[in-house]
Amino acid sequence: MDFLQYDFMQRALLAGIITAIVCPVIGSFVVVRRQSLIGDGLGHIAFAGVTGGYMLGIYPVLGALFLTMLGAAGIEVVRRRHAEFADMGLAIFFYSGIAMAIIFSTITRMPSAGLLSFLFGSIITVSIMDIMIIAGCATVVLAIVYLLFDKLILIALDEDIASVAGINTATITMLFSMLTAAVVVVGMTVVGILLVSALMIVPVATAHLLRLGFKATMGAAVIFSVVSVLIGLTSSFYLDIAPGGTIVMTAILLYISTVIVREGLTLKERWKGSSSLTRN
Amino acid sequence: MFEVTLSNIEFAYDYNVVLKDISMTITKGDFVAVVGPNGAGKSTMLKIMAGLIKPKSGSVKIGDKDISTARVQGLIGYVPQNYGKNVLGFPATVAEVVSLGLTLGPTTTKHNQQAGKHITNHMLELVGVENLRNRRIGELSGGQQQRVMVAMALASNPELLLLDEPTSGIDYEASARIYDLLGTLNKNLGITVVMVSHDIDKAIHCANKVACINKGLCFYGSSLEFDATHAGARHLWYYTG
Repeated sequence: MDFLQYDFMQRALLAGIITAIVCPVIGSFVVVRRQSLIGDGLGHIAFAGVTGGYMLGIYPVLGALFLTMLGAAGIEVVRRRHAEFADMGLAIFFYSGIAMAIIFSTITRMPSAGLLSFLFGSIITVSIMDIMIIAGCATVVLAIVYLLFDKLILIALDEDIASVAGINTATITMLFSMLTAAVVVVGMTVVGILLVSALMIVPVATAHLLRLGFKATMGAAVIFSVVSVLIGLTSSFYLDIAPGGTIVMTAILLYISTVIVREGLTLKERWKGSSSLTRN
Repeated sequence: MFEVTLSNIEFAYDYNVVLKDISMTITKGDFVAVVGPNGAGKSTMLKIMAGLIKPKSGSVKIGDKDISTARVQGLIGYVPQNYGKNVLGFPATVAEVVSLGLTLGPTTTKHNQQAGKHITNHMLELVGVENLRNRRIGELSGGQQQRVMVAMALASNPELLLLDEPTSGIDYEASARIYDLLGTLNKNLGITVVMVSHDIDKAIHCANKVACINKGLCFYGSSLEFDATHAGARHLWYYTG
């Protein structure tokens, strides 16, 4: 635990744990809404926000927050108006984000070290300002999810049923898009733009394998996510590898281990069943 | 007095007229089977009654409230036809799904957990799925899922239950049980039911009224009259709108 004596590591761990809690909370709804790739699309828009912010002299994380929320609103509008081509709309925003990022970073000649830390995550660049933004966003996200919990599940299950019940689905889904954008920016600092979506999806996918109810699945996803971040950040420190890779690989190894354990238990149950039939 | 009144409803997708001049009154305790061929506008009419889409002209009133302007939260329980695509793999238990219905009503019982649990248990018993309460909804058969969705709709204590093809894709026995359940809810609890169905024979057996639609309203009256007048030639009504 000697790595905890370093201030930068304490900051990275704090930011990492907040991210690990908030990512799967939003991810639980994103997965059941069949929008698992939205985090990737928003991540690329966040990249444009970082480079645009740098170009305009705005704090890059704030630039990312502004542009990602704008992009999330656009994606939601396209999804509502052209539901049959929702993925195509997402792809257009995705490409626009990366194209803007290339243009902004080229114009400003942004240093490659800075770009890489946003793309792959960094444990040494997490500042006090970053932690304040992360904690602020996370508090707002968790409070809104708590208040709208049942409505969000119902909308994910069937928007029409929710509408008939008098729930303002357009406003709530737009608000949810904003929350997703905020979480992408929260996670970007630690895990990196390219892999922030993975922390929203992989722990939730692992939790789904346990076949629990919605709240229990979300709780299990948060545990898988926190474990991934703790192991990933520690190994990032000792192996001198960008944390995005180690955190997400840990989450994926947890997923694979859970699949193996689950399949093993299923085979054991089947074997028990067939041997008891043979005895009878 | 609770009454659903449709007045001169017209609806078109672009220039394709789907419904024209539909007027009918559904009184409290009615069980209306909406029948008609594919593309006749049955589901569109149900969506208009649910307030999901607005008619081009005409109005739908529940009591004295026009559903396009007044909030009718909790008055209507709606079970759509195509919820199955979302339910598949949905990580929520049957009890969790049914308890979502508590948030649909005008006064939320969510704050009182004991009352909420009691209502959820009662709804599960009412539709006969109490033994499945801890199973995930996506793991159930089509008939069981349909019962769970009906239980969720009922949890808000609605006056009017709208169902779009509740037996679609469900085997014969499970369909019969769904019709029995709806008949029981209608008779014993006095819930007004409007159900779109392809299965005319079964639908008119449990409904007291039939609305036959093919763009316009071809027939609206008692199911006995429909059965007596058009037995063996019901299909003719499909082409006379």
